[in-house]
Amino acid sequence: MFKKLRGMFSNDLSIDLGTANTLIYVRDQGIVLNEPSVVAIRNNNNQKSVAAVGIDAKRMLGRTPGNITATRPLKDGVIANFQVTEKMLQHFIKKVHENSIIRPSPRVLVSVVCQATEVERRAIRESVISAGARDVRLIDEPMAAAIGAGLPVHEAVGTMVVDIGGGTTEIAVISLNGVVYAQSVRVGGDRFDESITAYVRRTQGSLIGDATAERIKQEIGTAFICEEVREIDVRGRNLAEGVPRSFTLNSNEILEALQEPLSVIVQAVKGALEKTPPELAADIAESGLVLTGGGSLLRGLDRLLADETGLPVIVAEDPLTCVARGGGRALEIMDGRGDIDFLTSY
Amino acid sequence: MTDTTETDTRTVGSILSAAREARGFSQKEIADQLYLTPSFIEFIDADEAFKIPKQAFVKGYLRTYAKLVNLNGDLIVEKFNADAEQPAEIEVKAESTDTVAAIYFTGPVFKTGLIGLVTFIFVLLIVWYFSSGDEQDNTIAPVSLVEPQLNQEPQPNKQPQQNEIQTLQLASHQVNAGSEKNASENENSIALEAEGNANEMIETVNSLSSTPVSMEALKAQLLLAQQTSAVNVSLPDEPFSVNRELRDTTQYITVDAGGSDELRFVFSGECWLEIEDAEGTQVYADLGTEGNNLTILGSAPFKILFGNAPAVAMSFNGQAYALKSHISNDRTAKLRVGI
Repeated sequence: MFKKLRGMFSNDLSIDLGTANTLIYVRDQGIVLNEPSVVAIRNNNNQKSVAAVGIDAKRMLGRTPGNITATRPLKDGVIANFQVTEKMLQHFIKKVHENSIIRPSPRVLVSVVCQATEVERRAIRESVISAGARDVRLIDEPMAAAIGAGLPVHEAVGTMVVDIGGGTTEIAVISLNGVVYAQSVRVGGDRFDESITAYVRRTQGSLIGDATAERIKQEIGTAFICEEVREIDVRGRNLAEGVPRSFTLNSNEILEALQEPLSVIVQAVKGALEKTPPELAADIAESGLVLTGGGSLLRGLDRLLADETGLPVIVAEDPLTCVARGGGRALEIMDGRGDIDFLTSY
Repeated sequence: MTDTTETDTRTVGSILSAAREARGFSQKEIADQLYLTPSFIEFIDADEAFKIPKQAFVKGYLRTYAKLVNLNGDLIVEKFNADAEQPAEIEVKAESTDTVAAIYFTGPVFKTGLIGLVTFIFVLLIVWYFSSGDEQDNTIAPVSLVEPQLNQEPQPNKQPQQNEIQTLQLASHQVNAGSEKNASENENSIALEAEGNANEMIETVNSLSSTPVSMEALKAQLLLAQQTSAVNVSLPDEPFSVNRELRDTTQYITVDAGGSDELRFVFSGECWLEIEDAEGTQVYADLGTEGNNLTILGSAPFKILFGNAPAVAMSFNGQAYALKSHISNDRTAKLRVGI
């Protein structure tokens, strides 16, 4: 009863609970929160308390003293640490409702990885409810991504969505509001960073941190041979000498570094196409596949996939927020039409 | 990237085809590189992108096409959006406002608010209905008990009220008489009798009997009518008389309820007074004003209620009675005398 009353003062939320970033979309307001899914836990004589969440916590990653540990509560798109996830969601929901007096109790739509098991889905649902939500709905991530990209998901036409997130890459064929075929590989933006780190250690003999690797990927990372070669100056700790050293990397080197994770994604897309029913495959061949998620911002990734599959590949508009926006759109459809069939009820 | 300020006036198709030709690509070559059907490129170049079957993908095609010919994909899409909006503006607007309105009026806030409002009005009506019913009872009952005994000197300002009371009394007598007859007559005549009475006091009976309702309901109403009228009518038969006389500026009121005990009240201000005698019969219930001198003759013990006790001095059988200890915070007092 009170939850319902409080619900009148809170907004409907769509949460993209990602491995790397958590995005919250509020109805009629758009994306209001985009923070890393990181929580810093302070441990005082076995008394654990939350030290920081989100951006603040991410800044602590790798720079924490002994009694603080900065962790990512999600791994490969599912909850790895239940309690920490709950704390993080609590913090984010509160942050979204910063200016309301009453404790918020919103309706929440959470996007989950297609391959998530019942147990993992239940874990997400429980943690969102204990974070204060009134009602929790789950939606398959590729479905939300497709809605967010503005694809005609309700039509009897096959569309393929490749959502490259932080931890996983989801490939799904969607038709008539449902996922016909879905596959996810545990390769995403984080794996790109790791590959770059490993490459730099191998070739330059220097160690770079996660943040530096991410910067390299964003600035000069490419998945396809480009005409113009970009360069970047980075600093890392030389393993042999033990002192920081500065060196230059170019985009072709990064392309080489990224070969391994990229080939995993390409193979997964090819595999998905093989298993797609022929009618839908024909639709996909005609219109192409759509890339969403932060990973699709990697330069040349669309060209790589197009060349490898022989299909047109397009990158969705504003791919980073596609899932959260799609979830928000799903909430609107839900209000207009009552329940909708692409929400998973369990 | 080419200069966009110069290209602003041209359409998306012409910008793209010019850039394509500048780089020496044919439509077929572009289509091959993008793995698209050549006809799609033809449509885009001819500004007929709406002919492409899946509109959701058009912007994506434009972006990849632009990238291939070294143009800024975002700018091209922006321009395409602007061009597309102009002719279809009215249609798009109509559709969008419609859905927004629908969502707005089916929102949980609106629903809850509406239900709350209706409930609130309903509760308000119930409260109003019951409270107004109480007031009616209060105004009629005490006056009808006492006023019929007035013999002389009716106060001029009470004249219309008295008339009303007399008619009420008459009506209730009729009900009483009617109900006695009813016992021996059939149900149809009950309805007729009730209608014939045209009773003002029990409006519900009238309205119900004039409309076709079930006999059981009618009977129940009549029974109620009988009970209420019996109470009202039996009282005037009690053997007590009221005597009012005005001497100097003091009004002396004497109520003789047939007893040997004497209660005397002297009013120094306005005060409502109710007195019940030993048998529980209400002997007196009226508002006393300054200068009134009231004497009640009846049988003790009396149950007395003062509305404004500090304004009254009371004596019982010639002996002054201290009210002070009985007065409550709201100036009322309730006491029993002569136990």
